[in-house]
Amino acid sequence: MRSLFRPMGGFFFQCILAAVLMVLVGLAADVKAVDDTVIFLDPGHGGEDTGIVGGGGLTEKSVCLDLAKRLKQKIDERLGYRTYLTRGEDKSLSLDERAALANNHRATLFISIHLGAFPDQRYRGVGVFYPAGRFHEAAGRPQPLPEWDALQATHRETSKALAGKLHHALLRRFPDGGDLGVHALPLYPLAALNMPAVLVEPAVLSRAAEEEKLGSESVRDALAEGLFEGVDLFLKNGVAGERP
Amino acid sequence: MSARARVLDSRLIWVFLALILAAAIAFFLSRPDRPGPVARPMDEIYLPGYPLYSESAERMPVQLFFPDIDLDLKMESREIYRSDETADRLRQVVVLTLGGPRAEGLLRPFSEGVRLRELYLYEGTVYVDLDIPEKAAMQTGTFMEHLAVRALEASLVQGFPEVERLRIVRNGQEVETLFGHIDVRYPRPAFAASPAG
Ligand SMILES: [Zn+2]
Repeated sequence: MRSLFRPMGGFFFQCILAAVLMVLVGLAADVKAVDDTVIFLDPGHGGEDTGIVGGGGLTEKSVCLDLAKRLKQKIDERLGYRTYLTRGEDKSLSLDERAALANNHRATLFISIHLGAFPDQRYRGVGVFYPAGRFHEAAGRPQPLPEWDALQATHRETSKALAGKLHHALLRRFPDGGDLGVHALPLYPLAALNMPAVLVEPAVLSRAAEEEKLGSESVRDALAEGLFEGVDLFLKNGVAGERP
Repeated sequence: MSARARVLDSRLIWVFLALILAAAIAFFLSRPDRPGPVARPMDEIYLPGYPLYSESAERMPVQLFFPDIDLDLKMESREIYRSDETADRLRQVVVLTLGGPRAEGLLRPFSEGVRLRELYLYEGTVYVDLDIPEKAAMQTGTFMEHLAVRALEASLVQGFPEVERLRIVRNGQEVETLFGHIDVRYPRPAFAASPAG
């Protein structure tokens, strides 16, 4: 009897072991997927560089820092990806230093957060920008980019997709908030990044009514929520992690 | 004739004389060959320390470009003095572009306080050194920064065949951006822009 059951027992044991291993491998793959995703949030300006200053005195650098911190907290709590801020306080940081930080952490995506300003009160709402292509596509004649910038150009389609998701999510959250569109621009803050990257301006600080709203914590939290939804949409579509 | 009637008579004479004078002025003004108003100097073209033109110089039309309310570039026809040096003509174009449009519905691309420091032309590239006060950066977002650079490019490159591209420097120094967003490291050709509608 013993000899009869031993191989059977061995077989059952092997099956259970295999099942446990498969579950563990599956879990490990999931953990790995989460671990591989590194999100860099870049609050624009900082230190002596205030960025835009609204008529009421609100500064772009402070609102952007607050939005970035709120967005990081939402990603930490609800998605669990590793998320870093290029600056977590009010300090000067060059655009090149910001890019180097994200490159050295092999970030999966980079979102630079700014605010808009126009010489007229009619402009309002959200504008999202991604790097113009290998050639300055808006220019009348093509002009080659230097080598390092060409690296960013390899992520252009993914950057465009990320810009689209953020724009869509912010407009969905603020349907009457105003739409300044999605545009490909020659953006220096994103030029040296080796990952999909966008610059988002979720509101217009030079517009008095928007400056007043940006003073409210609940509005800033709703903007951060819109940004979070955009990041979530983008990552769920499986376009993160692209590398040349 | 009573004294009252004499006063009335002299008033009628004055009224008659005034009517003759008015008719003469009207006739003079309606003459087709009357000399035009004396051309006023264009005060808006002024660069401290720079004689960009002589006021007796002829004028020439130029096409300047400004963002319209839809944030597209639109052309505005203006005049500059026909200076002997191309660089002086280009300097006038920069001063006028920085000063903003005349037409309603067009936007001033650069904030107030941005000035031309120096400009020179070398092998098809026009180098423009702008004096940009800190305050200007506090009023300029990404898209307006982009439109400002494009407006200057279009105003300088279109209409001047000797100019192929623009390189902007800030306060005498090479910079990556003017206000922290748009890449100005490399000379760029002009963008296509639409004529004023
Ligand atoms: Zn900014």
